Amino acid sequence: MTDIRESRDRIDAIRSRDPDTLERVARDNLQPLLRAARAAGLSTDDAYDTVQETMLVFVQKADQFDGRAKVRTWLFGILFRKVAERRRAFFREEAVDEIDAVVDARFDQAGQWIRPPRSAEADLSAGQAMAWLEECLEHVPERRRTAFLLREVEQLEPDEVCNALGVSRNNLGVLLFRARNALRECLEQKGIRGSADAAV
Amino acid sequence: MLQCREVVALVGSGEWRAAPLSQRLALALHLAMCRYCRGYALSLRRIARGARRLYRAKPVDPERSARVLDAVRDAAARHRRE
Repeated sequence: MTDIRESRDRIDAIRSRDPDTLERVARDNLQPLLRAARAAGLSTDDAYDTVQETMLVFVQKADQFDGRAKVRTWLFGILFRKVAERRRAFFREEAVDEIDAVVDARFDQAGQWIRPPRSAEADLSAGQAMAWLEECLEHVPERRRTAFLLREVEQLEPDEVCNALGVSRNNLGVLLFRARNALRECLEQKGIRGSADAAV
Repeated sequence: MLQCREVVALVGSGEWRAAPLSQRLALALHLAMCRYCRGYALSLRRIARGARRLYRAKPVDPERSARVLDAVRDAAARHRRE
């Protein structure tokens, strides 16, 4: 479903807790919720438990669903409140971070590139590059990784991500900037090292 | 004229989407002329595409998934009866 709102029929079916509809919603969102729970730093066991708790809250509160947000946004919102109960650190974000300085050091006073980006990560579909990307993702702090996952993998609209994570548009920009640049810097490092190894 | 650093800030944060038309045009013009910034934007798109492929390829546990779905069905039926 690509529209922002849910259809009237679907809202009614959810509100009346039609078992087929609720199971369908659960089925459609199970994998995205599991991925998000894992990205937020939960173990596989905790991820399944938390997703199940999320789904049960959803069923319990389904009669209050008003269709103003998409049902998936609502589910992600419940999930992250549950994640925060398990991991207090999840909702902390630093005002400054070293990645900001790393990016800044690539520019001169006039804002021109001193160290322009290298295209070492040119072909990310190659097996080696995918393994690097997976390693680099593990080093991105949970909250940023989760914002990145919701936006780029689940392809939620920016406002939906803000809604689910309970952050402002500005805050989301900071999270995404740090996640994307951390991944880019990490891959560039590995790419350079990788090609040096290959030359030996 | 936008600085490269400003381009990176707009593209890296995704804030260009909410920027005024004049700024989006300046961004497009800059990207057309600056191969470094173009390379930067391209690398972010590649990373996003790689992440999509990586995450979506991860297998789920079919048994545990089925248990979650059963629990949803049971809970829905129970709430309906009440």
